[in-house]
Amino acid sequence: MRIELKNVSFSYNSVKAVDKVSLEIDSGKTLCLVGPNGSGKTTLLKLVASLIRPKEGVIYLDGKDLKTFDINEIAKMLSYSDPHLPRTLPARVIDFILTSRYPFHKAFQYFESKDDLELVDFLSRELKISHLLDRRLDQLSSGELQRVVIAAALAKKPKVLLLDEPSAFLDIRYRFEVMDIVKKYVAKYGATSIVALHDINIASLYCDTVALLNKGKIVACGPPSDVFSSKVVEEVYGVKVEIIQVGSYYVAFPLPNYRDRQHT
Amino acid sequence: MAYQIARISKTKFLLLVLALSSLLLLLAVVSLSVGSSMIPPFQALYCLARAECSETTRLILGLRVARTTASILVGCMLAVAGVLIQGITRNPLADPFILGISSTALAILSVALLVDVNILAQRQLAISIALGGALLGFFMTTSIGVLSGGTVLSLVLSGIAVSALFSGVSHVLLYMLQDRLRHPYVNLLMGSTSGTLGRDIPYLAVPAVLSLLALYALGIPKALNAYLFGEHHASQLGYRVKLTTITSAFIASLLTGASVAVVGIVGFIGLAGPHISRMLYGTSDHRVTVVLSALSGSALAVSADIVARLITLFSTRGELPLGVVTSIIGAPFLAYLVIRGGRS
Repeated sequence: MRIELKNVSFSYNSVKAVDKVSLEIDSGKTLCLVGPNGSGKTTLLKLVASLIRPKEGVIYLDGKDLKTFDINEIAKMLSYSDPHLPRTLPARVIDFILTSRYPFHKAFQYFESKDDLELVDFLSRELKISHLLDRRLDQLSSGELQRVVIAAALAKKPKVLLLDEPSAFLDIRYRFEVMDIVKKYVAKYGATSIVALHDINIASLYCDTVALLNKGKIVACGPPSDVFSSKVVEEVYGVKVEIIQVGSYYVAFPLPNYRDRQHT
Repeated sequence: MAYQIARISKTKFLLLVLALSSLLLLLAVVSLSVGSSMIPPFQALYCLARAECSETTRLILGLRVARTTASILVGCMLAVAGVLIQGITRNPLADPFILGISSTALAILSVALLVDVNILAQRQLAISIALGGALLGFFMTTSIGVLSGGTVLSLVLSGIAVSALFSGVSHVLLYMLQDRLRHPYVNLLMGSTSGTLGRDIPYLAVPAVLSLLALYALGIPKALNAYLFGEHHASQLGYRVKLTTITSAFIASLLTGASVAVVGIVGFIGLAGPHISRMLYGTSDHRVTVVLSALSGSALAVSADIVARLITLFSTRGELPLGVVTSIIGAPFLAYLVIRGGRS
């Protein structure tokens, strides 16, 4: 599904969080949002997820204004993973993932169908969480929880996948595995994903397009190697970024500034 | 894997419903036979089945059937109110009594009684007034809770403030009115089914049945399941979060208001019912926990009522209110939950 943002703005009580953002993402592609804390990545995801409405501008899905979609249509089409999962009341992993199937239930259907359960089985094998299904959410490590959150997001078989920091708290192996699964899913189902990332290393490896946000504005947008080699990244973050070619990959590495000073 | 877990859960649910219903039935029979004049359980059942028995026995049984039914209904209503309140506040320590909803309902009812004491006999009106009070209490406690940081404990603390204020107000008002009330005013403050008659039952049964039907017809259990994982999670699944919370709060207030108007304030059942159901079932799937809480709440209320009557056997000074017993059992349970960080 093709996503298009045109001059989208949003503000929380007069503080501009997203400022005239325009973006285009094609079917089967992954766009990464990078930028410092508070640059508007999460707000932008919530706007596309239609959890909040833009104050200005329009968001189009396949050319159709997001506002004109029915709430249930959006529920089936879009997945947004909230990284802050409340865990005050006890619930199991399987209960959480199965809630993602609710939009597909018929009216007055109270329990899950066999297909729902098979899908959960398939996803939990992919994300290696089968052994966690009957555990309680508050007993998981943060890395395990992260994979569960992604399983819940994929359980909708969404056309638009919006992930907020999917690689946070994961160890190196799972960082790659989770991004591999997301990329595979997006390519296989012709879905589109927008991923907010802190890790520019992962972003340079997995994203088709990188959009660099600063204070709610897009300051650079394009293929990872272009965006990360530009001086803008260094200005926005206040650190040095080196692009290194490893085999056929171009990988971005942030380097602390003091190293520079030592050399000179 | 998922399939097996789902099957085990389903079997577990059916077994628990069966076990809790049998327990409830057993307690109900015990409740019929225990009192100032003991009637052996079998004799009581024979008598109810229209077999031979004395007129006195029949009269006593009639009263006991009424109060047992009242206890079952009140227990069910408070426990379901508890599940709903815990669901929408995502707070394992919430309960209509702890959050001051029951006290506010009684306080507003007492104000109305001050105007016209006959309101208590007009059940529909009394229930509506108590419902208004319950909604007010809900609003006040949650507002103060949000203003004080919105944590699990801040909600409980604001509940204590609201509850202390309004139970004080009710106490003063009912104290002034006590000469004009049919029953000791303590019965309203601490909840008692001793004065409940057969004709009072519909005023508990109708709100209870209507609320449960509405709950399932509107799909609230599933909406609460989604809400368990956050406001955003629920709304991206297509649920209107505000609508769900307001409807649930209204139903919980109706259940609390009706039980306060008919039997008075009975505390802690709304806390213990949901916790027992989650402990037994192992998770908070509201499709299941609403039913299990209703059953365990009923069992708790009937047991507490039996205990209250047993204690009364050793006294000549009228009956001990039911709410006293639930407080003695419930408060240590609350302390235990606070220590364990609210998890069950």
